[in-house]
Amino acid sequence: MEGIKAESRLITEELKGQILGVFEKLEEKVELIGIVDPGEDKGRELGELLLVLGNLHPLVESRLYAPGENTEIESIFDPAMRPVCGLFLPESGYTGAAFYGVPGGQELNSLIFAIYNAGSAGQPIEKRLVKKLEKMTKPVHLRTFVSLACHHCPKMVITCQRLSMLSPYISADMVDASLYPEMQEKYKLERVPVTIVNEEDRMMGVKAVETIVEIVCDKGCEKKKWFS
Amino acid sequence: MSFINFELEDFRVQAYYKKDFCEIQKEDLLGHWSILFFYPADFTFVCPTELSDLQDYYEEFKEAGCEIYSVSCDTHFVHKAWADASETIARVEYPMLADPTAKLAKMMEVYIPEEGQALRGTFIINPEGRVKAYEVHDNGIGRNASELLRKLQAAQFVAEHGDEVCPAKWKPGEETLMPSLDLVGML
Repeated sequence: MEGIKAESRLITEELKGQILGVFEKLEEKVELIGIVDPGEDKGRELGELLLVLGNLHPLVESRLYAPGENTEIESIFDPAMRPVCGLFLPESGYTGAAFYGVPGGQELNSLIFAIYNAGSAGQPIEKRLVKKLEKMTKPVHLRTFVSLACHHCPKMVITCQRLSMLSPYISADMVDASLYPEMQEKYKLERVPVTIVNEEDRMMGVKAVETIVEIVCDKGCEKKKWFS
Repeated sequence: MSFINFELEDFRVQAYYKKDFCEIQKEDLLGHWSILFFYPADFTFVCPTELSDLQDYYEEFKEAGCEIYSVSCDTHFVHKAWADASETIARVEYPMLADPTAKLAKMMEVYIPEEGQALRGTFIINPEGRVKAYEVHDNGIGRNASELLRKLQAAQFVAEHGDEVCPAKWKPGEETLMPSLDLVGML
């Protein structure tokens, strides 16, 4: 994309080495697709970050689209927030994991974990939890608001996005709340992480994977009807 | 020694409350959040300002499920005399504890033996009777009720949600933070 180079001040040579160590564990290709406006600072910054990551290893690819250029992919994401990037697999498509804003600071951890979880067997998770997720029949959207300086936030983003890789019904966003004042106001965000579940409920702070699975299944599974 | 998580010992003191005398003991502080607010002595100048400031925020403390207990080493009779003599103190609605033997002041290590008075110590106590936050000032330094309310709400927030949250202090137009990969070592 014109105006965006495969160079990012956010990724130092030392970081490249660490990231490569993770990418070498990948078993299938992961695509990072960004919707970025090259005329806008944060759009350019996200685009540069994705291009650098896409050049590091053959199993990680990146593609950038300007707003309006690929409406089919763009329709997957919330139109109210840009820039955004999502993780895709060549065969199954969108993984459900998206990042609104630039995942710098502590959130680079979330992005690298999401790539790892999408393109490999992923972080271990108990079978009983996977079985619960398999019973889901309705979509559940987890939106975690973060601050890039918050060292607790990636734990929540990583867990939610890990679950999104395990169920086609779960989607999980990271949102850098500092970029979207209207969201701070809408959700009364004073602390992070805050995870909004289907625009109805909120989880405050970092929750254990068991707790998140419980909440997700409560929203996404049909309730048993004993007497009908 | 730190008083964080210190559990109040048993005590029983007289108090001036709602224009009457009553007895307050440790059990009265359990089951809700409490603030023990020590001040040097009745009939002094800075103290009524602080106690009046607390009274201005008393409704908000009550809404937050918290009772305030002011404490000095005076008797409950002196508290009454002060309330009778001062319009500012007459407004006070929270219990004013009398600690003439300094049992409470000594328990919280705010007692100055050579003066027979307490330092300006504030203790936020959880419903189980344990100290979750406190501050002790030299007696020339006053305290701020709105700041105390913020600390109480923060203590209540952590009690409810755990401590794995960060306060959000966003500055518009901030530069993206340089990344640090702390967690990938876990893979």
